[in-house]
Amino acid sequence: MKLTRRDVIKAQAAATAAAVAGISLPASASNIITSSTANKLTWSKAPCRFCGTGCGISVATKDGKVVATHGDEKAPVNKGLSCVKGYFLSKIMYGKDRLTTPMLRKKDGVYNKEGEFTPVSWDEAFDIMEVKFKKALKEKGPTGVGMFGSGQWTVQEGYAAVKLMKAGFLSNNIDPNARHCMASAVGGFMRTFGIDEPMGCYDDMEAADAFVLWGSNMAEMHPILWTRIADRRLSNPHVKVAVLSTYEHRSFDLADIPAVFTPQTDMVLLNAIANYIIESGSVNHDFVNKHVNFREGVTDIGYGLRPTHELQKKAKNPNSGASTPIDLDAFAKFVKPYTFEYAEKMSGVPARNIEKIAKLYADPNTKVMSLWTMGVNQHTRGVWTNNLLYNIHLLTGKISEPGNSPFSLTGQPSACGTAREVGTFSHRLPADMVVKNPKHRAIAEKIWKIPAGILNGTPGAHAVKQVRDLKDSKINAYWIQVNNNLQAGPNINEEILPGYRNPDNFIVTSDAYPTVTAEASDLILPTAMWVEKEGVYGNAERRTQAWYQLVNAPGDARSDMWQVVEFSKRFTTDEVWPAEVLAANPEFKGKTLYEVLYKNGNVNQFPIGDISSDYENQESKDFGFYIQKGLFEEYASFGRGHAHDLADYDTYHQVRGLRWPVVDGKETKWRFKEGSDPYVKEGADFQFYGHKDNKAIVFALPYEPPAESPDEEFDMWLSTGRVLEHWHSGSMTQRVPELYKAFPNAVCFMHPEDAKKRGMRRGDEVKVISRRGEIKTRIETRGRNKPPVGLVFVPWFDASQLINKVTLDATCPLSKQTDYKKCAVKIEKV
Amino acid sequence: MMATIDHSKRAFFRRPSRLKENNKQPGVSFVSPQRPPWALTESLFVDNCSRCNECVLACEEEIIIKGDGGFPEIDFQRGECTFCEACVNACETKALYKQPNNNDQAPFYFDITIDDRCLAKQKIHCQSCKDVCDSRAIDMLWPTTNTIAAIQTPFIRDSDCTSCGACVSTCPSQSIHISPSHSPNTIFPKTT
Repeated sequence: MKLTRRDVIKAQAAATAAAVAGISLPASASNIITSSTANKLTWSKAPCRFCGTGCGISVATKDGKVVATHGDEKAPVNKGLSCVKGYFLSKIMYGKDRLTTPMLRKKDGVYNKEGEFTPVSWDEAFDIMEVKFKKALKEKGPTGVGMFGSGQWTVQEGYAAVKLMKAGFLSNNIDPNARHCMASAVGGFMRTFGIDEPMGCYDDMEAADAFVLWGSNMAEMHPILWTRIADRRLSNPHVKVAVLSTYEHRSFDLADIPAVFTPQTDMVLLNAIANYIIESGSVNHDFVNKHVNFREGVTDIGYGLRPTHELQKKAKNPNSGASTPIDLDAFAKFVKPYTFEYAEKMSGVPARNIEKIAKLYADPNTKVMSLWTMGVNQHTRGVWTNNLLYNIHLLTGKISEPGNSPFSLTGQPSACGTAREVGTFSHRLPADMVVKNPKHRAIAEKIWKIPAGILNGTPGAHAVKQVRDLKDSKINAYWIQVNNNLQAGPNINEEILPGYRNPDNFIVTSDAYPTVTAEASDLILPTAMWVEKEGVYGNAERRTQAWYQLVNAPGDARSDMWQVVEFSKRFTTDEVWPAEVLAANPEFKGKTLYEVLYKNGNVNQFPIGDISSDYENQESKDFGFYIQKGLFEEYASFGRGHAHDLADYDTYHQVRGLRWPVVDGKETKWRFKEGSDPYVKEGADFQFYGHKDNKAIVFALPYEPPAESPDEEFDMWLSTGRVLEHWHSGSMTQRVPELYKAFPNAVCFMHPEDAKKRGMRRGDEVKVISRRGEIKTRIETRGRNKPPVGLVFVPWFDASQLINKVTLDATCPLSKQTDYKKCAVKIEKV
Repeated sequence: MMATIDHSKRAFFRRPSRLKENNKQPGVSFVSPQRPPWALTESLFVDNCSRCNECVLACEEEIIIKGDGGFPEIDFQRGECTFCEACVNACETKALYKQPNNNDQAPFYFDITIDDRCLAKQKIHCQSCKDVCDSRAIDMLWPTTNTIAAIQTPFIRDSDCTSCGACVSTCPSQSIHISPSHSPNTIFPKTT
């Protein structure tokens, strides 16, 4: 590299600035500005915009732009590290095609479903939205409208949206994309423990003697946490790492016990381990007697497909989560057939390797951390498999202690904080409450200061049902925020696109970039992202983290929260609430939803003067009060005193996050354990207080086959997933040149023998075909993923290769989460 | 890490483009460009190449470009060499020449280095180079001594590297450099 004298001076100035900031400056690292005024950079903290790890990021701004990002050394999660995505975070907001004005499909100057996208004002955008939402509400009632949100919403955004939908429109048709990602984990927690989210935390990674990955490629998807595990493994020779997956991936680099299993047979392996624990006499009877109940679940529960689907009709107990009490002996009898030999036959994993893994759990002196993400959650028996994982930890009492930790990882920055804790699901309310429960609704009505009995007690449409309802013209006005469902949702061509383009429907998408979803909508709203607004995220270890607005959004882009709250001004209670409720509560008559939901004395109680004078706050200035704080504090009142305690809002701006429950200013590392969790009674040792009798449940659940398996014609398994460089649908990372270049297009990872059999070579263009659709891609027989014979892996970040045209919309019947990891395809040469 | 300023006036006058390229070997002020594979040693190559452009047109990967003086060069920023031999076969003057039955002749003679801009060396998770390496010459090594923040860093096994260049354009921080060294290939076939 040649440098001019001027460059040298500039670089020296930058190096000085970097030294002050405590970072090492790569010679020409492309995200660090090299200018003589570099020492004027303003550094602030924010959690990373990408995955659920929740790394702390130091963000440098200058002249209204984010100019540099690096791992925050003071952040306990990542201690200064970042992955390649986090390193290039500063560039995600500056793609050339950033949306800066609302765009409406118009023909001859008026809205037309078949029209061309035309820039319009916010007023005009809200005008047409208002007409369409009012029409749908009038014609179909609350179920005629729907909203699809996200685990990337800030806590405040998700909370504002829940209020508009559930308390304003009285519609439970709101669901987050976290349904595609975390719903089975939630179902598992609720069923086994009666309360959501992991009991342990990341500190377990420095305390465990063994790590078992059940369907998670942490090396690529949670690289910073993987580093913590690698540190533990490499500094302590006794530590073992077992990696289970349906194909070999980068996490196998660290595996002492590698295991590639046949899709869906993780259930067999888990039951075989439970059987081994019992037969080898390794049950922790003291723990089990005091803290565990046993139940046998109903079986043959279907595949969450449309009720008209053959597989659904065949199921004896479709969608049933019922169970009956049993005891340890009955459980032992239930898992008895799951021998290592049977497990080897079913899974293809050699019995000696299964035994090695089983022994990690059975040995009372080995602290085990089990980790999983989409391999377990995106599963037609996702809730069951989560239950089976907890079984082996409960049988051995290896839970809620440093290093003994069944740990469900998350994929989105606030899947926990927003989707789960705020309860943006179609069946939930904040703090683990559900709409079905009249007592829970009454609590929400009281906090929200709305008339008693007004909330809708019928769960709304979940993610997959929403797109079916759009196709069937049951939902006619639909708002999508912070997600790209036309790329991320399953079975695009048969189920999703027809609903979006259904002439009866009006589809609104709020996004920062023109994603495929935005392009298939009727109205696109330009959206502020990440540090262009103030917000709060909650990561996988219950850590709540806040950040300030650091820069202004470009053009007319506004945050999702501003959009929701501003839109609420367009409705009066008389238009959306039943006349009899208003007759009984005349003080609400004639008020706008804005006044009822957000100017309700809670949300608007903090003045603008409370905002730090160092930072902008576009929304609060617009509304005239510190809205982020007001929304947060009202929301936090749901959980305080109910084992979901959050600290006061201002604290989160000072600290690098706190793990809830935060009681008396102290965070909780291990829940359900005396001494660590303030909610556990003295002398209880453990207390699983999510259930009334303070016990967790071990479930007897069998292996059941997947919805679709390879046959003679469609002879390969298809699994989809992510790659390190790109996050989700790539709408942000594909716009960072360095990340794009590092992994520009999706490929079909395939075993060399499978390629050879079909007369294909690496790099050949092929079609991946299922019964539902096909895509063109290229064969990759090398590289990071090494599938076994009979399985292909295609990442889904690439908008030019929509692999979800191929996937099946089968879901876990209990969690309604799609199984993206298994369907049958064939590969043909183009 | 500061790059040195090149004071070679000679190079400045003769080959201006060399000044801004980064394919520089330490202590050498002038380096021959990266020629297409199986090129003769630089002086013979320049003597024999007729600048007919056929190799540029033949390259399916489109990584051979017309360089200084119209002589062909390889630009690994555009992609990788697949060793398909199309350029060699297209070369009528045999400035590119693959000797029959000579297993010792390499398509490229080169040094390959990873500089400190490498993201993994900066403790940032990245393994992009390893994945594109066809000959599996890049290992991602765990740190052996310090295991605080254990991030695997790339190590290139020279013996397995073919200089295909795939890692060069893939690297997000552009920290992999291939510098050609002189081809020992001096045997020029009689073309009478």
